[in-house]
Amino acid sequence: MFSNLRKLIFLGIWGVFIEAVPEGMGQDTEPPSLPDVTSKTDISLTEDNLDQLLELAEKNVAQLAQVRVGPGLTGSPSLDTPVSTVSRQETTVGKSPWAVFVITNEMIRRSGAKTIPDVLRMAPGVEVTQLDSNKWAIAIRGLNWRFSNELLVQIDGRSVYTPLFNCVFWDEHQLLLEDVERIEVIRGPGASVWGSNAVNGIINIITKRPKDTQGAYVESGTGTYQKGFAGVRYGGGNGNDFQYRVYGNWFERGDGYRPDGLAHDAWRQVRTGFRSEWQADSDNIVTLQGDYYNGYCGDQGNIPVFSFTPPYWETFFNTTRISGGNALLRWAHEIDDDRDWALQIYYDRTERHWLDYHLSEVRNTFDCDYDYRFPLGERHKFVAGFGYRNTHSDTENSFLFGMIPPQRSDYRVSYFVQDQIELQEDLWYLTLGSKFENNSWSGFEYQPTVRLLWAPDKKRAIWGSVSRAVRTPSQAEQNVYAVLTPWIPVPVYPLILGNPDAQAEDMLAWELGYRSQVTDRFSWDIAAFLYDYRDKTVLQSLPYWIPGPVPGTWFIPYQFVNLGAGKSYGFEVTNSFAATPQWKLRSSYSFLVLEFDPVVNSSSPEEFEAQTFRNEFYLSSSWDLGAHWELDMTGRYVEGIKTSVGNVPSYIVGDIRLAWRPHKNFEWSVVGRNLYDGIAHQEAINDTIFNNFSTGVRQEVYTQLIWRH
Amino acid sequence: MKHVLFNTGVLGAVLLGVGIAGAQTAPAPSPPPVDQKEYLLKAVYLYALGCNIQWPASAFSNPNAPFVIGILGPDPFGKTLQDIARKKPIQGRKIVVKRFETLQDYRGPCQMVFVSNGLSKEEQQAVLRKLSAKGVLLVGESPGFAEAGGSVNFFRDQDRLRFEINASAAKRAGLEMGAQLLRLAEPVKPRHASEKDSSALDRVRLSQALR
Repeated sequence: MFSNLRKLIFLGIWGVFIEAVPEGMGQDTEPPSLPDVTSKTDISLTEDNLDQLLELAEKNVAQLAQVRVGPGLTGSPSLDTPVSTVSRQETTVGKSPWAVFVITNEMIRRSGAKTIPDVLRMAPGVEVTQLDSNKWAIAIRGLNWRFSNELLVQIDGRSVYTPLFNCVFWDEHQLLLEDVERIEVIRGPGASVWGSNAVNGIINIITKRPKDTQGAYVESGTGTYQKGFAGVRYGGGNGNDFQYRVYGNWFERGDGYRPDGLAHDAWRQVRTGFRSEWQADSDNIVTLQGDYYNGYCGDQGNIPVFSFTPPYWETFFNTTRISGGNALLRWAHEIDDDRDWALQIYYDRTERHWLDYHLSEVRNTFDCDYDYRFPLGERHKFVAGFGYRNTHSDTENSFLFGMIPPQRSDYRVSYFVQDQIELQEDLWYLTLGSKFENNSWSGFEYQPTVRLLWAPDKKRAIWGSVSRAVRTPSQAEQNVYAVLTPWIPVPVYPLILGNPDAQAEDMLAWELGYRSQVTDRFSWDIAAFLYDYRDKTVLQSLPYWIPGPVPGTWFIPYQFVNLGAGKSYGFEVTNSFAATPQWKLRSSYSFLVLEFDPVVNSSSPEEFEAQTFRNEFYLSSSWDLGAHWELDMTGRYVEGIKTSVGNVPSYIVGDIRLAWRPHKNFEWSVVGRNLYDGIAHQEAINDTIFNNFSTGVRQEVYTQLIWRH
Repeated sequence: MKHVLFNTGVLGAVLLGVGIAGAQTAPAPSPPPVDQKEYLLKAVYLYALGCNIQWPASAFSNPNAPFVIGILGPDPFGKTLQDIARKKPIQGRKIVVKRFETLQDYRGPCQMVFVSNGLSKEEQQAVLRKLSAKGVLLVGESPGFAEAGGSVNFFRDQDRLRFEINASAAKRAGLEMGAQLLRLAEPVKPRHASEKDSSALDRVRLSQALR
């Protein structure tokens, strides 16, 4: 009984963090930088640039040879797909000793997905769970809580991981997907260059450069669940060394599905932003970009009521106002063909007001990051860098929930060095590196990696690695107090207390992978892993009760302690097959097992296992029907979960998109999403703490018009 | 239970979709994949080749004859080549683009022939046999094309488009390659290409197949 109660609490706490409390924003974890591409020849391949290209053809063929065509035709993860996240050096999937999956703009467009979480469903090893209309839990290789604290996410080098709860608020990042160039999804630790909290994986969202978004773009649509959405972008420039784009979007989504009708999770938001780039000369590129967004979303659930006699809770509806903005400046300088550096500075502000709970968080983050790439001798390619971040959180507390102290400033100073050594030319590559940092959450941390890649030819590679990564404690784990709804109908209220001594969790990862481009049309890869977690945070009960505010009511206190330990292992297989030039297929399968040791008097770690999907299967087909029609189909199977507080059945759902493109400037599509499983399918159990109700993901149909010029 | 039903439904739908789509797209040799950016760049490269290679005077029937680019097989260029022909001359001559579906349709003289990878290996082999004449630059885009006797062959190197040059084939055709082109080109490797370069191996295999 009691252990169940603890489980519940443990489960629920995550939910509380994410949903119940106000606030949250901010970023944590590593700054990135990364000029996406610094090619000297910046001519994009469009008909409009034909004159310029012809001039090169006459006078300077060598420069013509520098023009990038982009990834090949084979569709997704071709070994030649460029990636920059893995090592902060531009390289290709084929030469990366990491488990990498790249989602291209074309894959996004043809998926019919309108949110980044939905786009991420196509990546292997990524578990996307939609909690309600505006909340998602996303994790890579397990530990998928509402509070998925092991996954680092960046947008154009700006971290969107909030140190408040150590998670990502996905409702803050509704980019105009048309402007996203690619999303690099790395499974496994990337801490050696990106720093703490890049434990189970990294997701790097990279938007297009302004030169690739010239001209006008308009999209607009409506459907059964998405009441409406619209996006506009315009890109211009001086025709020479300066380009920019500005964009704006708006959307309104309906409530999720609950049989009892108690859904209050509709979501609407507006967003606007810009990105500009000045190529001062062939060696210097300066980028300035920024965004602003503002919107409302809701949730529904139970809150505690203090009373000796029932009821002990009541149903409660909350509306949250979410707004924020950021500005980022990046200067990339190329010293010569082999050496370059990049300096990046950004400021980010996020505001969350849980209006009905009277809770809020305002967070301001400043970040500065520098990295430098240089060779040493014939065989060593170094990248080294330095970063500083300061983040300040200001929370408004209520009786039921808050942070002590309500204001807090944190910093992180970090530096890293990584060397890629070509042990034998074009055959053996060894990568050695480590990040070192000092932060105000857990003090000094080091996060090394050793990776070896063997590429017997250009089409195959085997790699293996050992790395250590840490997750720093969140502000909530150190400072929170939270009163929860009783789990059983007695006037005893769980009270969660932060632990100022909470330490970093650490993880040792062993990985092994193989990838092969079997033919021009078929490629596949497999990656297996074994993760060993230590010092995981769990909730442990304290040996006393505290009298509540009403006579006869009691609080049972629980505190975060670093006593958990366990292992996870599994593998993912991905393949991509162009059956004909017009018909491309992709599939992936992910398998995962989590085994955590029980901890005395604490939340039971078997919930970790129960909460994690063991089997996921994904299949997609993209078909060009003649010159003007596209038919895309996706199916996915996700194994259900069983927990002591509720089950989610396995589900199979599919998406279908049919698009008509009578002209290169015009597209009309009809998209059906989450089909085949009735009116809605449930992906998550209720948040057992706040009794924040999850809602079902609705089957939906929408139609969209796109015009570009 | 639901899933069983659903499975049948989905499977049916998918199969139906496959059937319909298959019926529409199956006939005829499939046209080459059209990556518009890639073919835009290839078209520009054809022009670059024209500017950077010297043809023997005998390649043209008279001093005012146009520069003829032939495309053998399905035309992947869209209107790009036409645009170039409209904008630019090659060697002071007006560019004329001619399209030939098959080798049987071919009518010379052409100074440059682009052999699309929409042609089968056998057809390409026949093209190399029949068109390897003085004054004709054969440009391909299939592994092994240059080794089998084509002068220039495009290939993809990561996200870049590159080309290889078979200098002896060009010489046999009486063409003088510009130094800049030769520097940029991947020289065609001799038959015993290094083992670890499987793309080179593929080329060798294909050239053997073409033989």
